[in-house]
This record gives sequence, structure tokens and C-alpha cells, in this order.
Amino acid sequence: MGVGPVPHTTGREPRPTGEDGPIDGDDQVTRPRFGRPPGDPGTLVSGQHLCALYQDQDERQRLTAAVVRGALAAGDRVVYMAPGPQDRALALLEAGGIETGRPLRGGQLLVHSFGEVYGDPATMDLARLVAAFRLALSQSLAAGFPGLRFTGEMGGHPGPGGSLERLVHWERMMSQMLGEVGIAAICQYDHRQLDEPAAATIAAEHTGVATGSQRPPPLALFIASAPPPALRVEGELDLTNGDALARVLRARLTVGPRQRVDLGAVTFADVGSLREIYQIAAGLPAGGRITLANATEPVRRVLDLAGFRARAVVIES
Amino acid sequence: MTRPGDGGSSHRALLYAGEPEFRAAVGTFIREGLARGEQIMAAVPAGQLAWIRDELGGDPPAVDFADAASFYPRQGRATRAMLDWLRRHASASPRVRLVSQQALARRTPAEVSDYLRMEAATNVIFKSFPVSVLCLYNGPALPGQMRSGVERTHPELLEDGHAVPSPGFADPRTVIRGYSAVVEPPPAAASVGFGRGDDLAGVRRFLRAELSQAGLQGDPAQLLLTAAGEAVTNALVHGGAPRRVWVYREGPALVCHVRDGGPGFADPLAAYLAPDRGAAHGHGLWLGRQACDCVEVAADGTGTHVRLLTRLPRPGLPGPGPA
Repeated sequence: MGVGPVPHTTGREPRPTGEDGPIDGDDQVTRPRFGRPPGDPGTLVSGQHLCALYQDQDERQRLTAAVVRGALAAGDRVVYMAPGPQDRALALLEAGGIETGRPLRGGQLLVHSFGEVYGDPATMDLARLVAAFRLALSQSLAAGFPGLRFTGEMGGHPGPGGSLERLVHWERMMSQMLGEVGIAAICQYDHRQLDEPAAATIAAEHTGVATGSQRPPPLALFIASAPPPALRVEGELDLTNGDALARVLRARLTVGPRQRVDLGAVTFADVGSLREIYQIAAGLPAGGRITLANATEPVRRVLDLAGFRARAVVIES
Repeated sequence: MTRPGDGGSSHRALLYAGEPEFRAAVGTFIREGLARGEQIMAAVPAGQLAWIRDELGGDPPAVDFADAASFYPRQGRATRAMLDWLRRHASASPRVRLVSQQALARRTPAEVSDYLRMEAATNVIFKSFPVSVLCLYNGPALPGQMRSGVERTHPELLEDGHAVPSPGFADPRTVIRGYSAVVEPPPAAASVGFGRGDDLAGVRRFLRAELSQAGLQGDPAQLLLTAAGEAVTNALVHGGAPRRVWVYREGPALVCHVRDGGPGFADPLAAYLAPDRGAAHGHGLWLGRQACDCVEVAADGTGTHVRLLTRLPRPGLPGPGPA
């Protein structure tokens, strides 16, 4: 994999210089396809419009789970536009390792049909598309999510619109809209139902083509949990995701100045990541409060040793 | 030279020979404070606690007694407990007094150096408090290295009931540097390199496995893991390449040794001062000192070395910790 450090326990003399961690080995999965830059479905950025071409059900499942997991790792809301009944879509996510219960109840994971999200593609124009997604983004921000991501099952050819021409027009409109509104989407196509020229034509209308995610699973997930409403943190917090925690927490505090943070599934936390919470608390308006609930032993230990104190932070035992 | 009664702190040592000298000096020191309405803390081993109580004829309300064995489970913990006590009392009382003694006989050389670095840092840490500190050492039992160390780290010595300037006293930063030699990791020690944030999770997996294999479990293992994690993160954020962490045994202790290629801390005292509450940096080593039995920071041409030492449990004995 080439990801993560490789321990050596031999009796060799430690090499004095030039060794500083592992060397990236992701080359084979980061090559461009159809002339489009590669994109990681787990780390979408706003405005990004990825095309994902899956070969089988397994790949579709991995891809969808990677998108949803990436959104949960960022604390973003994610909308999954799935064909067929909702329970089948959820089963696909569960099979991909996503616990859907909490994010569904907390409004972080939404499962809709294509029509529910877009209406009738035949009558849609750019202005209406932009207006609809602006509304979706503002609703998402108002619900306390710092970002919004979409992933949609587009099926095979001819897909939405009924012809390749209409599909190209649609995807071109989507690219413009996503860039304008500032949200990310990844469109899933069944590669088996597309000939290569069609696949290339569709890919060309996207900002990039999704690669199989070679990154290790995210260290932590930030889940909108309810009831009671809380930001639930699951996993490990360190230098790499302390800023993600701060981003999510700030977004949720814009909804209301009191926020419950459920730390019951945190297995490791460093000083820096917990300091983010106290720094944000210090900037809260009067009456603002961050309640740390279910703090685990690793969290309590660091809080105790670091000696953080803030009037606006309550540690619930 | 600051005398008890003036503003600012004083820090003097007594190398006593036997109970009568101890009782006379500590009795005078405490009674002087009581007469001035000062709050007093005595944190000394159990045997010496009994001497003080006997000398004073009981427990005066203005004197807090603490058994050194529980008050100083770790060097950093003791400093923090002292600071907490000072902050609590320094505002209510015109001056405060500390009587301090730690059992040193069974400490390893690394722990003795750690103790002396802390004694040097004390001169700076306590500077802003109106506190008179009397440190006690069992003179005849003191190894030679310690005797000169006591003289280097205390501005004043108590001799025949009088405070005299310590001939060996030196600038705390110089003293800390003097007791901070780079120790190279053993060639066969298990290690892992790291160079970016994404490596941290793997480093933690490595540390967990090594700590567990060495027989360190429960709270001491978690504390060492937390402290090592902070040292690794520091090396990543503030240090330079190449970066590596080793785990190995040294005498009764397990060592997490973090090295980076950077020049290290400009101020050797940096790692001893409590960070400001809102400070973005500086919590890592402060935490390490409270989490481990001994923390060493040293730099030379090979880079900056941070060594975190925690005693391993001894078979048949309850829990680790310096005696």
C-alpha cells in the first residue's frame, strides 16, 4: 500500500539521514482516465464534480460507502440519490461498512430518488438548478452542516434525459451549478452499460474521474446524532483532523450557541484537537456552552493533564 | 538575595545530618512563618512528616501536610500540585512557605538528572510567587553527584541556622543544559520513522504494540502513549527531518525516544513552564512531565532528542513509580 510507516525491528544500525517516513506508492491509482484528473471519492472538495464508472456491484458499494464515509469524516451532509426503495440503498451502505442509523436520524444522511432531488431533467434549466441547490445548501448550513455533498446513481446509457446529448447537456449544467453554488457531487455510472466513446464523452463533462480510494479509512467520523441532538465523534483525534473537528463544531454553533459533543466513541485524542474545543468555547457569546458528554478515559486523561479550563465548557460525567 | 519577608521567592537547601538538625531547622522555618501569619506546606516523606508533627506538637491549621510518596508520584505532577497550592494561597496570605523533601535513594541516574533539572527550573517557575522554599536533603546519604547538584540549583544553603549564598549556584538555563546530554538509542531498539500527519496513526499502532510487548499496561501505558504522541506531533510540527521514534528498556524503565533533525528548543526552560491557558503550543511537554516518571530533552548535531521514561512494573510489587 505504501501508506503508513513501516516498523523495523532488526538489529540494523538506524540509518542516520535521508529516511523520513514512508514513500508514497499510490501512483497506479492516481493516473488520469479519459484525460480527466483523478479524484478521491472520500475527499471531495466544494465545486468538485466527479464521474465514477463502476464495473460491478462490489465496486458500486465500495464507491458509495467511500463517499458517505468521507462526508461523515468531514461532518458534512450527504445526499445519496439512489434508484429503487430506500431500504435497499441503506442496505448497500451498511454492507459497505456505514452505520446509517445515527446519521439518518440526525439528518446528516439523506436518501432520495433522482426525481425527488432534480425534478424532471427534461424541463430543468441552469437557473432553476442553481436556485434549487442554493436552497439545499442553505438548508444544510442552517441545520449545522459545514458542507454538502451529493452522490447519485445515474444508471447506464441513456440515463437522465433519454439521450447522450441530453445527458451531456445535463452534466455540463451540473458542473456549472456545482462551481457556482460551491458544493460537491459524484455521479455514478455503470461502466458495463456504456461504450468507451460514451464513457469518455460523459467523463469529459466532469472535473475529474473517481479512482478507487487507496487512503486508509478516516481516523474519525463527525456524526449529527439525535436524540438528544449532539455532535458525536467516533475514532481518533490528532493533528490530521483537529481542524475538521473545529470546522464542524463552528458550523453547528452557528445554529445555536449550545452544543453537545458526544465523545463516547473517541479512542484517542491529542492535546491539540481538544484545545480546539476550548478555543472555540472561549469565543462563544454569553450563554454559549459546549457540553462534553460521555468523555472516555483517553479524553479525560488529556483534559486533566493539559489542565484546560473554560467557563463555557461543561464536562458531563 | 531574597530573604523570607521580602517580596519574591527564596529557594534554599539544607543538607542535614540526622533528626535533631532536621527538626531544629524545619521547626524554626515553620514557626517563623506561623508567627507572620503565613500559610505553609510541608511535603516530605512519612518519616520526616512524623518528625515535623512531633517538633510542632501537632497539626497547626496553617500548615498543610503531604506525604511525599503520594505528592510526588511524578516530577511534573509535583510541580503542578505545588503551583496549584501556590495559586490558592499566595493571594490570601502575605507570603507562603514550602518545606520539600523527596526520597532520592533509589532513583536511577536519569531520574536524578531529571530531579536536578526541575530544581533548577524551580528558581524560575516560583519566581513570581511570594514563597520561601526550604528543600531538605539527607546529607550523609547523598551521592556525590547530588551534593554538587544541590549547590548548583539552590541560590542559598542553610548552614548552622544561617542562610549563606551557595558557592556553586549557576544560572538555571546553564544548569538544565548541563544535565541534558544526548543519549543515543540502542542500535537494536525497535523504531519507526515518520514524516507527515498521516503517519501518526501508524506511529500510535507501533507504540501500543511495543508498550504492550514490554509489559506496560493500564494507566502508565496510556499515559506514556499520550505523552509520546505529543512528542511525535511536536517533532512533526516544530522539528525537521529525519524523524523517528524508538521504544526500548533502560534499567527499570521503558523509554519512548523521539528524535527529529531540528535544532530543538531555543530556551531550555520552555519545557518546564506551564503554558498559558490559551496558548496554542507548549502543552505537549508539560503534559509529558506529568504523564511520565522522567522527561529528557537534549539536542546536538544529530538533532533534538526527547526521551520519555516510565518505570515498568516489578514482578511481585504493586505498580511502578520512583521510590
